[in-house]
Amino acid sequence: MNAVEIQKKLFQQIKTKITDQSSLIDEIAKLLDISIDSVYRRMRGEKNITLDELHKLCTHYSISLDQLMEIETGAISFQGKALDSKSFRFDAYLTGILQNMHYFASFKKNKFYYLCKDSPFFHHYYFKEFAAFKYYFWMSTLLFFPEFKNKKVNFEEYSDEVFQIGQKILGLYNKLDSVEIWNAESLNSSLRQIDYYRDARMFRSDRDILKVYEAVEKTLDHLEKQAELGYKFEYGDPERKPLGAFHMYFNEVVLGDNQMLVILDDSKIAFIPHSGANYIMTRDVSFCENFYQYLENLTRRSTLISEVSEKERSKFFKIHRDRLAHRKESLKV
Amino acid sequence: MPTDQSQEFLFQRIKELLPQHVSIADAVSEILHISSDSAYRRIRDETPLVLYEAKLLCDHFHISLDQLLNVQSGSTSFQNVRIDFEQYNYEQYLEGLLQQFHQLRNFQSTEMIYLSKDVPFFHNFYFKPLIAFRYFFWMKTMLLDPGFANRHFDFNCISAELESLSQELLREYQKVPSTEIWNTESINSTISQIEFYKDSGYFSSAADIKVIYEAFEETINHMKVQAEYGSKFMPGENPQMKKSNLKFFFNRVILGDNTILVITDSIKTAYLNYGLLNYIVTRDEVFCNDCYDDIENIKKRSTLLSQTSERQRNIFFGILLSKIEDRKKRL
Repeated sequence: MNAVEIQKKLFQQIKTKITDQSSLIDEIAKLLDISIDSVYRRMRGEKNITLDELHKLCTHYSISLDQLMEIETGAISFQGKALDSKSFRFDAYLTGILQNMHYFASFKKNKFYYLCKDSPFFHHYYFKEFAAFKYYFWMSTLLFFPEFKNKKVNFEEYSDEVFQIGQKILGLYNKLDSVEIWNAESLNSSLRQIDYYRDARMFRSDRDILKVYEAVEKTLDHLEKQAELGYKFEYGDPERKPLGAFHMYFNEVVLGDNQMLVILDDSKIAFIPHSGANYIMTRDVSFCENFYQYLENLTRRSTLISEVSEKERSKFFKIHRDRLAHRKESLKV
Repeated sequence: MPTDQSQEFLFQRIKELLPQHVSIADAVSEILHISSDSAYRRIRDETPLVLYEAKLLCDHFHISLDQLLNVQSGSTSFQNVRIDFEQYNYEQYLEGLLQQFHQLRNFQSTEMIYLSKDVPFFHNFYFKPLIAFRYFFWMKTMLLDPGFANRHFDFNCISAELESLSQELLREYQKVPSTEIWNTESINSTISQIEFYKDSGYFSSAADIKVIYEAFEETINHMKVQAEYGSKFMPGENPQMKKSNLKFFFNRVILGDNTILVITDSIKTAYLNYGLLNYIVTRDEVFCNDCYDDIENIKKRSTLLSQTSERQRNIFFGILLSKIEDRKKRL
């Protein structure tokens, strides 16, 4: 890695940190007290950035110098704050994810690996009832919001605005090429959460529970169709216009951890979940590379059920549908 | 720190790291392949370092610029512990864990909290057939050890040394007061791994598979007894002679992720597991406190099964045991 590469990478990272790209140049010019032309010269790598300038930029945009310059300190730097129920806002959280998805989608070459423990987060946003249930579950059970205590799941009160952000995230995810590694347990966590809410009488009626089950069922139908075609398409699109490629694996070797790896051109970012609902991420080159090798190893030991292996695909989706059907039968509607 | 003295700070730090008899100009000129005059100009801040030079210097002296310049990047530093064949093999990995247990003795109070996705690592080591199977699976399928590539499973695949090291680790774990948060899925991956090997034809006989399932069954039965007494002990030992040092929870809300938190006196250390055996570890205070709060929240939603709730305990272990029984019947 030479000085020009470091410089280019720096500006790439700054771009991911700001929402309004149009003010970027002015902002940097002001920060470094230099002219607009000088900013451009630095961005193009024609003029070297000094350590002081780098320090100013990294401090301002909260960028790790060690990661940027790939300094071998022996430690790996991870980023990500834990969700805090005192300051947490679901809409802001989703907007943050949306911003990341925009960034991922801006690369020519991209690939999204998802080692599923649960059904991937993005798939919650096909249908409002499923999204709403997940929202209540997060706010009340995972994050302990006092105003959600003993509050029953209510689809009408679930904000359209939040759902729309979720749908935008899904829309961007569907544009990326993705590899989803599922196992037979991947839907259990959602089903158990619904069970838990049923037992705790957190639904208004069995009819509402049915709506959530039906939403999950329709999501499965759509996923199966996408798996069959090997690409993603918008739900309800009669032409099934192809979006990103969809590789789906049925893994019977390990339980996934909801770990993710994103490949953007030649760089990789790994996301590691911890303590239930939080994530940390890193761009550490050797960590990401090893993690990538691990995922590749898992895919080799799993069954590819997209495009090919119709029989195994049917078997896989049947396992999930049977579990849903079993639960639906016990409802009084 | 002021943002106009970065270079000065860097050279100051390098001076501190150099042995007294080495001149900083010589060291810098050698690392950057420049003349000593040019090195001096950089050290005196007359010529700015280009970023690549700064990187070379930091790499050489293992200096973290984030720490040196106190950049609040919102990041947390982790040490990575990863098994490979050349530098850190499975035996060294177990020894490393053992050493960490020994270090725990230096503290007055210790506690380990395990939010499990799979059966907690140490509980794989009660019975020989399971120790052997775990070892074989990790070597052949997860670590891709070339020595295991064309081998079928046999109970003698593990050396006596590794086996006793595994059990020593378990004994050390049993001394540490711990909280384990399980769910009914926690045994699924072991079962599916046995099934995977069965389907792939890696076992020599159905009798071998039965022996492994029986060892697993005994392990779960023993976990049940340990939960009943709220203490950790080896099979055959008298639980009444042991300290009560196990809190066992059944969590229905989420699947765990093998996050481990170790609390020694007032210091917390978080271990995050990835790729089955590897882990990253940090003592970052903010990060560890957040982990702790999250796990406490999960505990609040979970059922304590140790030393109490006999009915729920029987139901919970009944579910686990029936999954194993079901597989045994199909052999």
